[in-house]
Amino acid sequence: MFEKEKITEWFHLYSNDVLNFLIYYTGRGDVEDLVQEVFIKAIRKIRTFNNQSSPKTWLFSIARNLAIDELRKQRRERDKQEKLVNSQVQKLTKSPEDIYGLTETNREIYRGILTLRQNYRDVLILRGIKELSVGETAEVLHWSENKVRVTYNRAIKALGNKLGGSLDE
Amino acid sequence: MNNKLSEKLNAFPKNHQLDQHSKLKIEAHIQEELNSMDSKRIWFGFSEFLKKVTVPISAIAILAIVTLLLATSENINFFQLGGDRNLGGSPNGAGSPIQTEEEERIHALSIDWAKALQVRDGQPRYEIMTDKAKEKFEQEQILRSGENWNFVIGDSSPWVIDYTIKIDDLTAEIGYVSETSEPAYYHSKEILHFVKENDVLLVDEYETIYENHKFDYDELQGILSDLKYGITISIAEQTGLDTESVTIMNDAGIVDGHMVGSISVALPRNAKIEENTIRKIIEEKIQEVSDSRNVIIIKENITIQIESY
Repeated sequence: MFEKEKITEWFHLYSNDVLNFLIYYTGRGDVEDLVQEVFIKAIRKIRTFNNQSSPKTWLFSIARNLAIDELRKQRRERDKQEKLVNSQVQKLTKSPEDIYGLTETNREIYRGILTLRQNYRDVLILRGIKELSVGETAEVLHWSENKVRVTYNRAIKALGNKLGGSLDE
Repeated sequence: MNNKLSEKLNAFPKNHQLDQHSKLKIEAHIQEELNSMDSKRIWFGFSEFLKKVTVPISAIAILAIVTLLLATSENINFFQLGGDRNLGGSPNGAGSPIQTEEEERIHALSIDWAKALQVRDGQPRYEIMTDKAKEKFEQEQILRSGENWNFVIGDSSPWVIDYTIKIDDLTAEIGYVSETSEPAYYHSKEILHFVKENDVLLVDEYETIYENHKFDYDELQGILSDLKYGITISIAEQTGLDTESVTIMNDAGIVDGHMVGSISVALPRNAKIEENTIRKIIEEKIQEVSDSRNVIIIKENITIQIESY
């Protein structure tokens, strides 16, 4: 009974946070099914939840793993489609740029983030965009806090290089 | 510039909300799942017990089969590709022989580099760096522990239990396997670029490709499914067979943080493809999956069997 209440409460508290994280992480707008999957997975794994960590970071951690699997699946599907039909998959879904109406600069920054390696993307989206604390980011990624600090610093630098000083304008 | 960029990231909008329809739909699914969990609860204790017993048994069984095959089989080739310059394996040295003195030196330096992480002492690394690399290292240590920096590197957990090294010209790729007390296993990969300064080989650039990627049974299932899919498509493309005729069976377990397993390919008798080509395809797919999944896979740990039907 306690677990039921817990999951329902978490859904009300964090479903929109998970939604926003998934939109930025997958680069897609139609992530409602993934949000649902996050909570279904959370129910199934509730016994592994360590009460000392925060439910929000635990849910983000599940969401991240699901998003990574989803991106791989998409890539496989795209490869398959291209091989079989020799045609490009049409883009049917809204992008984060469309959903949030990002400014031109933010669009450029977001596109820059997507070109970076995965651990940089992870830390920039969690720590940068989602504004999780160093401790929370460390929990989601199973890293040490030091590693979050160092990687965030490197990621920001890499993003800066990628944007080539266009932010100074 | 960096602060400005951080501020801009913080200011990204994140106020999108689930619409009412999606919210109700998800809530209904959650409710359904919670109800079905109640009915499954009675079985939970027993299935958890079985899981705990079967995981170690299957790992031991796989290890035993691999050992037996290695000890008895003369006919099975274990990925022995000519010219492969993987020096890897563990520090105790499985893999192809080192070909030149320079490679031997790079291999030795890479072992020192990896061991430094194992004992969390950055000094041996620092001593084999160029000035450029030293500067980068110092900056990292300052970020880690402030202006009075020291040589402590890595984390107390997970800790490195094994590493593999591959050399390609002046580049070394180091794969680390780490463990926590849980135990849970994590894989990391680092690339070192060497230069010669006054005839002395030094590390000029080092970069982490991925760090502490969790390697568990979920990941293993994903790897097996990627391999099955990739190998099937590749063989079908090269032979003109339809994918239904290519039968792939693969199985694997986790032994000391490494993937250990087998891949078996069965093709119709009249399939026009050389056995070596199939082995090459499998080896390439293992490398591809290893790279895309961020998992260290030692090819010697995977046995291949090719059959006709």
